[in-house]
Amino acid sequence: MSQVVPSELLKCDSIELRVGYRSLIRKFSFALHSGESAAVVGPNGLGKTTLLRALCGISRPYRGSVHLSGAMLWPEKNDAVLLDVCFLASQPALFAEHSVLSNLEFYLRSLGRPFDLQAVHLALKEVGLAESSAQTARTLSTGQKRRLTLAFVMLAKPRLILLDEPTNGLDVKGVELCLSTLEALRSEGSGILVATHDQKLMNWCKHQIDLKEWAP
Amino acid sequence: MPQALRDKTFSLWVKFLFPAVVLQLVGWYLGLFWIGADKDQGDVFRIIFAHVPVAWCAFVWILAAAVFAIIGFVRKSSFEQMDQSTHAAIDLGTIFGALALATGSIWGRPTWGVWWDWDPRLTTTLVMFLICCAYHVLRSFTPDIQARRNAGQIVAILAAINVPVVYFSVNIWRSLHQPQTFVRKGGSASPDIGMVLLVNTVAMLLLSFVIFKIRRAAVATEEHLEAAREGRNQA
Amino acid sequence: MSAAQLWRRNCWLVFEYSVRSVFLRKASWAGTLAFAACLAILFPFAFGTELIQKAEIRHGAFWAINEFVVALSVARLFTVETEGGILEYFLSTQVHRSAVLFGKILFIVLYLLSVQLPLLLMWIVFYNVPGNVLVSLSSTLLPLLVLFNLGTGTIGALLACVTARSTARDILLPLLFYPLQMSILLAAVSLATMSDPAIVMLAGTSEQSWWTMMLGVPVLFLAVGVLLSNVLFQE
Repeated sequence: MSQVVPSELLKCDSIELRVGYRSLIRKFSFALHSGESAAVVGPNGLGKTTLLRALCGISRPYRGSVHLSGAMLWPEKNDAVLLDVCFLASQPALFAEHSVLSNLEFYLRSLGRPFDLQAVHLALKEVGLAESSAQTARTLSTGQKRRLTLAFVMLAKPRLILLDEPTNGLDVKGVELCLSTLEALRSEGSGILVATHDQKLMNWCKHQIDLKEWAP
Repeated sequence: MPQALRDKTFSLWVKFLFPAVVLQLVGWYLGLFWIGADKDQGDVFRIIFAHVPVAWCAFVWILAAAVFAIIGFVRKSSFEQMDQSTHAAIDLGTIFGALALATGSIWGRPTWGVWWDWDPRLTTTLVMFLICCAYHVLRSFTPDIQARRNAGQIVAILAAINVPVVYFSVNIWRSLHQPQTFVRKGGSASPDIGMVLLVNTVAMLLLSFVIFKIRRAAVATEEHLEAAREGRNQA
Repeated sequence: MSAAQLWRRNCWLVFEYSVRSVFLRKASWAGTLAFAACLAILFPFAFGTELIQKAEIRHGAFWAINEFVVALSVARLFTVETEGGILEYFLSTQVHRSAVLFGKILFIVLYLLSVQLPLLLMWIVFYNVPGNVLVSLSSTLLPLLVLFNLGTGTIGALLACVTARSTARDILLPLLFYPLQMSILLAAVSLATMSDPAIVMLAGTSEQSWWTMMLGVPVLFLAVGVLLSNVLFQE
């Protein structure tokens, strides 16, 4: 394995998150470096998903700043950010009417990766979807959809991945597959931030962030 | 804004309401009794002293709403305050827009012979008024406050941009189909009329500014109440 | 990969997947066309079969149908992406927001055109459009349709984003859309009527100004879209 120099992938400074007028967390500061993994934990309704969404620019923090790879995301979005980052929501995002292959193609091209059919079939085989490549995404089970997104991260190797409950809907083997995929990515220098209730996943992460500490 | 400060702002501007109303009444007195009747239109023309000022107010406040919205997007720290200002400004734009439409229509009946004549100015006011209505519908149907602010600010900007576009297009449209039937007296009016019109416009603008400040405080208070209803920990 | 290259790729990706989605759900396209056909038979029933032979009514009806088709289509502009949550994923990859907007606008222009071409055929048949009118329209109609689609598509895409998080999208989108795009409608109808030999135009008609309007409005709203693109797609 090549030696990876850790660099700061994600940094948020003193952010406050709100839902409506209600603060979820306040003065939350955090940094994630390459090759690091962190788990955001805490009971329901504390803002785990909201935090992940704010950190990748889907929603806005009420206060504070967010930087991705040194470039500002919030309060001013620096459009020159070319870092490959992605957020995988708790419900796998898919084009419901498109096939598994077509969805995977979209995922890869969205990060500027080539769509190499041979590699794609290999990855699909690894996640147990070899037979389903032509199947419509709508007809996949939740676990299969999750496996599809795992095939994507396997192939694309994004430098920063934010995952929301990535083991939801996965069977025992699926959870293991998820862990091994994430471990492979981490060892290659990706930064991984997960929001989870899964004990196995929590244990795997190097750092744990309990959002209760920042609740107002 | 802290509650105490908000109360202070509110009571301060309520005090200004009285002199502003008095000034407006003076303006209307001049328009109704001091100025003589018009050669062509008789006493009907006196509605100009209500119609032109409210129309001006409508456009001024729509423009102001867009300016507030732009400032809110540029200076993110003031986004919330600017959204409240935009909201209050659009409220005024809606009310004055409705008044301009009503007075314009009332004036149109004796002068044009119809209630409505697709005059560029009136049509522009109508379109602007409709967008203002849409703004209010949008606000009340967007439950999340952040999304509501965002969407509201964008619509305020679009509404202001649309004003000159609509004005020019209706102007070309009217010149195409039939010559403009009505030309305002403003240009050829006697200096007295011009002066009284100016007094009335200034008075109405001042009055609208005071109403804006009061409405602005009310919007902030409404949001405070909404936050209290949602529960917990308002900053 | 440079930022510009990435922008172009992402813009194309949005466009390509929108087109592919239409091919996978052909019923949505066919449904839109059937809707247009329903509208096309509405006007003869409303105005009578004789009146629709009149040039003004003929052109007016065509563009009015287009208006409804656009409103219906832009309401569904982001449906596929938001239903599956794919838009959120795509935004999280730090894609330039304006690339998404441009991709979608490019798509809607062509999508509308694909509905308008068969609609044109229906219009010719149902409204008994004479051959000489078609000949004189032939050079104008295509650029007119493209510019009309570009303008209404841009405004529609902006509004689809603005109303995305409201609970009454079905009311709000048309409510905001119609007043904002009325200049384009005026320009399109006027230009179409001008090129109809059945209508004798007054001297000095402003064809030039209408084309400026037709081109200027999309440019204006595109510029606003680019400036606001970061805000448009944010919660």
